[in-house]
Amino acid sequence: MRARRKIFDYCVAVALLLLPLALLRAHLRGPEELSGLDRAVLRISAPLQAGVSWIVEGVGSVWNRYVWLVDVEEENEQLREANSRLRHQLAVAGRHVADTAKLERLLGLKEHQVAEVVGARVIASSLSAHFRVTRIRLDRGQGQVAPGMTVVSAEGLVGRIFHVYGDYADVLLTTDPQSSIDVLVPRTGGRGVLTGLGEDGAYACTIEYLEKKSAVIAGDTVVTSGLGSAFPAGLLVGHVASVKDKSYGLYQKVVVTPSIDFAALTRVLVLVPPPPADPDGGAGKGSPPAHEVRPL
Amino acid sequence: MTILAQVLVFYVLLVVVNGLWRLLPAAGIAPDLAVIAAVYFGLISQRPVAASTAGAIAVGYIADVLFGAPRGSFALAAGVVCVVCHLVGQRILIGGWLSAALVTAGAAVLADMVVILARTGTAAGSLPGESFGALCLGALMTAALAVPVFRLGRFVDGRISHPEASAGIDIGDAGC
Repeated sequence: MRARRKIFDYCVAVALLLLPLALLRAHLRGPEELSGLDRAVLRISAPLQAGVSWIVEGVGSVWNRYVWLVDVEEENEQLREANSRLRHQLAVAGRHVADTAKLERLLGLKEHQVAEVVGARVIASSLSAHFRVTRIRLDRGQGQVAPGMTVVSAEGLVGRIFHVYGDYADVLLTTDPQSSIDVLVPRTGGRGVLTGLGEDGAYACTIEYLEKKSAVIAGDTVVTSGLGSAFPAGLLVGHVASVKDKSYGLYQKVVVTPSIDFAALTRVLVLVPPPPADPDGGAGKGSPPAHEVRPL
Repeated sequence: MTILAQVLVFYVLLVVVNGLWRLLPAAGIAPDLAVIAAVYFGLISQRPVAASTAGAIAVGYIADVLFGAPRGSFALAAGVVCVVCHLVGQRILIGGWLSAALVTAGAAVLADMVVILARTGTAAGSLPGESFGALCLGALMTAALAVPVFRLGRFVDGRISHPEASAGIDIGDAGC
């Protein structure tokens, strides 16, 4: 009796297995169709699933926001370090780009110079307003560079060599009170002598002996005249910043802003004048520097 | 009545585990609760095979509906696993949680085979992108979850005062 019951049970179980097969077959005929039982199960399950999902995601969110923050802090530290390193590299690259641009401009200037040029790098500057001197290190031409030679940059006239010692030289800037350069305002043709003002906190010059009839206005370009000094003609010196027309006297006082930002000066060129042709052609005779005889 | 309660418990477990598993790192490999239910009904609960199979098919059908599987595929696999487990339980003495877990792992592989066969046989195509390695990992995951689920089932059985529950397979009873 018990064995028959068991066999009957197994027969029922096998018969029950036909039910899923029938369901599968029905599903394959119409996969999109849902039976009433399907809908009922889904309708009951949907709020339950939404509730579970809400709870689980809430717990997960708390976990992600607070518990995983340990790793986030470590990651932040690594990112900060990487950021700092990349910023430094960017700054270095930016400086190289600026240097390259300056060198390219200097190269352009060199091609337009009759005189031979010696490149130099600015290594120090005087902070005193009374002594506007910049120290440069010559790239080459030790022995070629002598006091009085003109120093220029791509933006214009820098000054002249003051002292030379080995590979180094001091440059007397145009803004130094001792500097004295014969200049010209091309628009009016007026001439004067440019000297440094030696002001604290500013690189400025003034033109003395500029006649009143030369109607100079702010913004006028000032260039070297090429007369009476060692400087070649036509080098840009700066622009007129202001004009003080005194009611008495023959001359007006003009303040000039140099075309060069001396604080940012990094590379310059020293103009080495070519020796004049020796009429005697005698060997062993040293030629005097050309700029002491005539301007370039 | 007890079968119905067990089906309800497995239904809630299906919803909860499915919701929970999505957030876990191993979300790609999930345990098959329908198989665990089938093993429980066929091996642990010691009920008549017809009632156990009905319960397993019901849980499998719910899994089909909840997971969007072709209706009947998990149900068929769960039914087959339940009957096989019942036959195994009649002939081999299975005791302890390790044996129960191993049987569940084997049942999970069997269920996967049944699903693949059913899909192939009904021209629904094989399971996409599922390799044998993935099947084995899924089986291991199912086996790992089986023991706590079995204990929960035994606990529910005891609460609903099913006298045969105590006569079931000993899986390292934790006071159920």
